[in-house]
Amino acid sequence: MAESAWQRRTVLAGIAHPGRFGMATAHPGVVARMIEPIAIYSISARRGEIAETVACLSDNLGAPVVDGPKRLASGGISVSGVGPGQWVAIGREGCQSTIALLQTALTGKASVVDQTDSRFILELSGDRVRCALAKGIPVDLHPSVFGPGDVAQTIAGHIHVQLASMTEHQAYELVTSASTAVSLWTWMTSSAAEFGLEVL
Amino acid sequence: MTASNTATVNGQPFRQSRGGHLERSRPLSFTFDGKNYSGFGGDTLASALMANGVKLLARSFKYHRPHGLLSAGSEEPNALVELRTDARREPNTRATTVELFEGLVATSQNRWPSLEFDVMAVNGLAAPLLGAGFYYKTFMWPAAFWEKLYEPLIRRAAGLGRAANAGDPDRYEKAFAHCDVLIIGSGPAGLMSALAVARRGARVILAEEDFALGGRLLCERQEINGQPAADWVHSIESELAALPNVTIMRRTTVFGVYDGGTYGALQRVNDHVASVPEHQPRQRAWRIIAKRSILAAGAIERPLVFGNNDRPGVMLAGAARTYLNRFAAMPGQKVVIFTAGDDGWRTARDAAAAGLHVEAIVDRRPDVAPDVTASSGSEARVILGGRIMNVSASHGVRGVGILDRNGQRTTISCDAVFMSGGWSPTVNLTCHLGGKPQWNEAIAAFVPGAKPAQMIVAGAANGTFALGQCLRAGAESGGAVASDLGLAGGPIECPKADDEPVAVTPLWYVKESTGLAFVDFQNDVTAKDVGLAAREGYRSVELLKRYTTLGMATDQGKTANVNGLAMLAASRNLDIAAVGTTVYRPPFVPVAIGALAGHHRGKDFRPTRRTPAHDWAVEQCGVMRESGAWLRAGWFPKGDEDWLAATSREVEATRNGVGVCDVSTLGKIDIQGSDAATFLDRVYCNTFSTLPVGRARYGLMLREDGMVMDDGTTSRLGQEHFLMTTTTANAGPVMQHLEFCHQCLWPDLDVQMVSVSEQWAQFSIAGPRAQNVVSRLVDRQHDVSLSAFAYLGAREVSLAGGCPARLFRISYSGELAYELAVPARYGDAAARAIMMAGEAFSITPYGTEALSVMRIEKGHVAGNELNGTTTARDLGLARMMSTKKDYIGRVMAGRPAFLAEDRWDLVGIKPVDRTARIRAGAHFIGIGEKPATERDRGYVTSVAYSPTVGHWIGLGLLNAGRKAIGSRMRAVDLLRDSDIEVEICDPVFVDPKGVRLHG
Amino acid sequence: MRIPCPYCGDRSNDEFNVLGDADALMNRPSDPSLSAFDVYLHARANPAGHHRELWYHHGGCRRWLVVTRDTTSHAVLDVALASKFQGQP
Repeated sequence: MAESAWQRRTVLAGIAHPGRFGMATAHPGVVARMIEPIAIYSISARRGEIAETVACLSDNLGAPVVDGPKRLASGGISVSGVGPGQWVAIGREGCQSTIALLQTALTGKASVVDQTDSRFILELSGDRVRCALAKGIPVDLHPSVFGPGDVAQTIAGHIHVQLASMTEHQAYELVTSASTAVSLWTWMTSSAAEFGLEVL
Repeated sequence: MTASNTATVNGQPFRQSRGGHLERSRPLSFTFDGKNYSGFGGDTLASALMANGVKLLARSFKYHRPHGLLSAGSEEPNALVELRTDARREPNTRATTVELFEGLVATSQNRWPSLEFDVMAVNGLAAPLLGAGFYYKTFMWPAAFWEKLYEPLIRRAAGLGRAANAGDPDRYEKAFAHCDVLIIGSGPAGLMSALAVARRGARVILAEEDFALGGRLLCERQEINGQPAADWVHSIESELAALPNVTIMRRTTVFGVYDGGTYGALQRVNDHVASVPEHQPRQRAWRIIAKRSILAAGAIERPLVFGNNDRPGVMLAGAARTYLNRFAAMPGQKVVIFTAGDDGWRTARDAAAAGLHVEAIVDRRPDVAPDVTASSGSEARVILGGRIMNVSASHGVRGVGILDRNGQRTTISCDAVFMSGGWSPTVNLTCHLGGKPQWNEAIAAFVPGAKPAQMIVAGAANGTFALGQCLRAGAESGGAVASDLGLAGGPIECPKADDEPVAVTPLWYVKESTGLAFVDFQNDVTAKDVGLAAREGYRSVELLKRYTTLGMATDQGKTANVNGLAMLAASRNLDIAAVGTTVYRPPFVPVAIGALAGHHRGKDFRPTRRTPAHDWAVEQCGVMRESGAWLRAGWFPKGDEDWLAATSREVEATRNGVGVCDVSTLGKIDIQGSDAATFLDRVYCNTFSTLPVGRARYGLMLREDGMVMDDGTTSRLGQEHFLMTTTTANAGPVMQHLEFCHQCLWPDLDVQMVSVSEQWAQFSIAGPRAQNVVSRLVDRQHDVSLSAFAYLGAREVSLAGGCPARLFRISYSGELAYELAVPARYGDAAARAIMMAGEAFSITPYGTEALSVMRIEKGHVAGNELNGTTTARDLGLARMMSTKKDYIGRVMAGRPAFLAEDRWDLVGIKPVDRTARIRAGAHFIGIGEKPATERDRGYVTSVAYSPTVGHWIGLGLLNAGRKAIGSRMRAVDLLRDSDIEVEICDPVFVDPKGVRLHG
Repeated sequence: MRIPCPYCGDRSNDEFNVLGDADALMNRPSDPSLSAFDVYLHARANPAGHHRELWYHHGGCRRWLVVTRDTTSHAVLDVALASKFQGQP
């Protein structure tokens, strides 16, 4: 995306601030970090091209992407399955060239749609993060069931969310639409308050 | 008064100096009806009141009879109190389940002026009038009597507690839990089954209603493995608590069973403290998803039905043991025991051991096993084959009248009666998915019938009453479930315990009773009421319930139902099995609405959605209103303008200059693929395959039944790439419909669809000066002159030196207009840039009200007209329906009824008196006709004050409306008392030739 | 009720919308007659027992599913992507 003179505005500008909130526990039970990706793309395989798309994604990421609810992260890009033949790719700082290559490589195999501004992303971690998430996420998050790399799209307190267990211990990526960010933030901070919340 | 066999303990005259499972080092003070008392940690409100000698706790629902404690658990029908004060006041809490805390404030309810002297108790004298079916019979009397006399009387007289009259200041939460095995109840069967599954590695949730684990084991003087049962409980609890795969949830009632292994549970997180700690909820409603469940909820003792059996001091025999053994509180001094089975003798033994004088044991059975009679351990007079006919009492018990087997009547003075009619397994949760309990004659009780899939029942809940058997049943059930789940390991060793005698010969009703004999204590249903209902022909148990209100109170008849239906069976000379039981439904105990709402109350009632330019709109003094889930500016008042003045100003400014409106909420769907155009041709009634790249077209989508579903503009961004817009309200439903068409009807098409509603912030820039604003906004290399970028153009541009944007020349207002879309992160900046670019032209932000006024002025349909009952023809859009292709809704749109001449048409309306205001929802009635359904000719769908034409205007659906243009009708709104003569006109009020939008 | 979505896994029915009889709804008539569409839209068997229904997983993968369900017990017997029944993978 070309640069513009305009000021970007994040969805929680003026609402979320760094610091400690809720119970003054010795260690925060939940740590929240807002992620500002440089690119988000919806990738939908064209008719009969799921295998080709999977192969192309795997080649470009250098890791095996699958057609299923799994998240794979490599070289600053993560690819999460959101439906049969459908993925969401999230790119962080430093992955511009890979993203560009990926887009070119997918031409003819999949429709790629820019969604960079459509999502709000939180990374949540901490000893009590599962307890806080259980106050809205209806999916079983026990590590034996929802382990690293697993993705679930579901509804948390009437808000559509995409939750992924990241490779780190008890760390989750929570993605929602930009317009519901404030409501999700209110729910999340309220749910985490009793465990002590740190916003980075 | 001080109890004779003990010194007053901490000011509690009826507390034993030793024993019980209390924290005596933690004295607690509390008040009841304003009077100070003290209790101990580990008490319930009920046990603490008993220890303080408070016997009168409540007044009954209908007759206001004095009531004390009947039970010691959640089945309690009598001792309902109001807990806490002011906004935290909670009515109808059972004193038997309220965990005592420091500073607890409880108040009796349903009495006036005081608990001791209640004037409404005279209702009791009117008992013959208030019998079964009173309400129904009264309805048949002259209606005026009911309205003026009976209902006010009953409303004043009857009733339970008072709800708080302010919002609940505490927090509530909802949460989800998942496990392999949910175990409901932590008595002997529950603990053993928990141990059996947990040791084999299953993820276990053990839910216990009480604040302590153990169930009846805390209430009985029994031994397990040679140690007191309570010690055994503690050892098992320690083992379970140490296992990482076990979650113990105390103070948690599983209140409902739902399909697919889903259970509702209420956790009273902070009901046992004076004030809820910061950041914590008072209660948490859990939805537990379990692969298997083991119901070990125990059993509930049945009362015996005899004269004045509801007097304070008459209580269940098992409850008496609970108060004595668990709480070291004394339910009486001189007691008579009335039993239908062996269980009453245990109470006699424990009462004697606690130092109470057992005056008599009345067993309805003429023959009782010698080991049972010997076990009583008291010198009490034993009356076999006898029965209590009545209780003499004022507020408390003074004595009982007994009939022995020879017909001799005896009076024995006493201050308490402990009764045992046998035990009913707590089968409730097995019935929530439609299971019917089955009568088991051998134990004279209903046992679980067909159970919910994946639930097994163990212990007393399954009709297994003796301790040794309960422990074995728990171990076996847990083992079976673990094996069923494929978990390795074998059976666990069962601890040793004796099987106490549990024989019972039920006695449903003492026929020789004098005085009212109660079946349902909470709803004041007497034996006579049940008999009367049967005589009057209410022969089904469901009808009996509704006619007498048996089992319909907040306790749902936990102690009453079996006695009631047994009496019904007896009166019809049928077996109980033939009569059956009523259906138990969730919730098992009352659940506060606040707990079910959880986080979702007040401003968090439901999530709201904000557009990227939300803050800009707020800064512009936009009045933000809910539009579905979205927050949108309704109007932008200046100074002290009201909504109408602001809206009119915004309309005039737009029509005469230029206005800007945030339309980011429109649904936007990116559609790609080699068959994208084919797909659009099939889902829209008009054609899109002919749309050139770089152009937009208005599209109309029908449902398969021929009604209009939605409308919007769709642009062709590339040969195989379209951008569809939907109305704000239908963004989700349209996506679902398109996915249906693709996945279920034509998956062979190469089409990819994804919502991009959130990616783009979109603004409508409308008015004669719109082009001037837009040309100042876009980067210089883009030619957006009227000729180069014509009406219905769609193209990509850049703004502010590189911000990518999409520009559409489409108009909803009828003016020369553009929609400008920018990536959402620039939405705020774009709104400000548009304002700056328009400053020279006095650009005016307008809200959804002005948007609506302008579309009504132009006769454009919106949600009010696209309401699922209108066809394209009705709306004057028949010409859009292609005749050259198949599409969703084509065939059914041709239904004869949809083409009928007298079907409604979209028309415009103007008030004949131009100062009059029309109301949306008013119905069309002919001039001079009386408003009536058969003369209804249609209705007004949308209205607005049009500053452009200078009066109120409206759109409506009028039968054969197009032919009626030029005629007059009336718009009649009987609800708002409005009856206005209107002219029927063309629905386009402004610029009917559509000149303005071309600039 | 719980529905095991073939893509997302076991979920509560809160996440789904139901449309109705799958065998009826997925067989849109090629015959453009009112009677054929009348049957397509309105004629339903409403069985007590096994029933194949279309459910949309709006809260998850946004797939339309054919759910075979026992209407007398709410037991879910089989779930598959609807597109499979139109000959697509």
